[in-house]
Amino acid sequence: MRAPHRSARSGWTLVEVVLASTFTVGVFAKAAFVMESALGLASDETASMHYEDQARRVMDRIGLAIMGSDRETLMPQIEELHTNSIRYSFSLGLEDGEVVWSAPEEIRFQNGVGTGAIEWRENPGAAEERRVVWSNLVSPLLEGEEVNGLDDNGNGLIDEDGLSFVLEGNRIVIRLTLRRPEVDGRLVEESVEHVVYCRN
Amino acid sequence: MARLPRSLPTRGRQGFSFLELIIGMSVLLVALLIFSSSVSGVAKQRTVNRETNLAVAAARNLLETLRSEEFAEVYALYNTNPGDDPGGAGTAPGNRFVVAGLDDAVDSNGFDGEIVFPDVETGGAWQLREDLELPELGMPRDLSGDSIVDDRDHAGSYFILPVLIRLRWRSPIGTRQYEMTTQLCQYNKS
Repeated sequence: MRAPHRSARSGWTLVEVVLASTFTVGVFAKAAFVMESALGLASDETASMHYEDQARRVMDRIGLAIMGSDRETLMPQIEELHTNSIRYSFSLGLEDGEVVWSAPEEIRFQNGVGTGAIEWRENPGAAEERRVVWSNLVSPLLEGEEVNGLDDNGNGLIDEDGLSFVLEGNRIVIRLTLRRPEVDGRLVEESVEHVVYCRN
Repeated sequence: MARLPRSLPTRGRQGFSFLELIIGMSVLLVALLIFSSSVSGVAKQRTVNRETNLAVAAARNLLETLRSEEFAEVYALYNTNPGDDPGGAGTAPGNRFVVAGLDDAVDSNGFDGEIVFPDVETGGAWQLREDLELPELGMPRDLSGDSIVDDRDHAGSYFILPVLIRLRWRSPIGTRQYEMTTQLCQYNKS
């Protein structure tokens, strides 16, 4: 019996078609998965780095503002307890052997809807008060903290706000959490901690 | 008018063979692997950057903490020897510390960082010395302000205190190290 004639245009067998389809679908599915993961990761990391940079910039600003002050003139003077605002004056130099202090300034946390803000004020409460918002992405509470009377994030503080100051001896520990919901609904949070020693 | 051939040559209309498809997909797979490895490399680099930022912030914070201490007690508080701690043996922070976020420490005790002073153990006692060859700390140099570099212990008479803060941790690309060096000195508050 003669074998059936197969022309050059006869195409693939069913097995070849199934194998080729499986292989093709597998490769494209993997490609799609890798692309999606890569884009997701890049987006997460970019957002996270952006907020970390912003948090560090704000923190440096706060640190530099307080650094030139005198520890004894800080308000409030509460040791080991956290506060969400600090009032200070910094040394402008010496005149006739006496230290010339700046006008009083204040850095404070203002809670808003969803997120809070950091406000810097010169001559707070006075007629000539000046006010600048340094960031409006501050989390209502520090990362990991909940309003329950407990220290949820293990930093020794209870129910601390997104910006907190703690006076420990001659140093001030400043903690800050920035947060913002992304377009896809995820909440990106970045926290930084800074220690400042009052130089004057 | 020229006539069209009745049929096109079969060879040009054959499409891919199974073998050609396999080769094509394999090339695609290799490209995909290269792409994934580069994405993974970028992710690793970002982790390394984040950890480096943490290390820098930790070193800066520790430096501020050292500055906030009574200058004459800094060495006793942060040296290797717990026996000379001002508040009693073992009460001071010592020369090793942990950084939150740098979880994989190289040190077997889990410490990420250490504080290094120009000191040496001599006969079971630690001495702060001026004559040590430690270029990273700018040594040898006069620490007591008498313009003489000698081989005596200056733990109680230093005027300048060189400090090196070193952090070592394991990152996705291997062991990383960050060092910050400075010199603390006594200055009068206004």
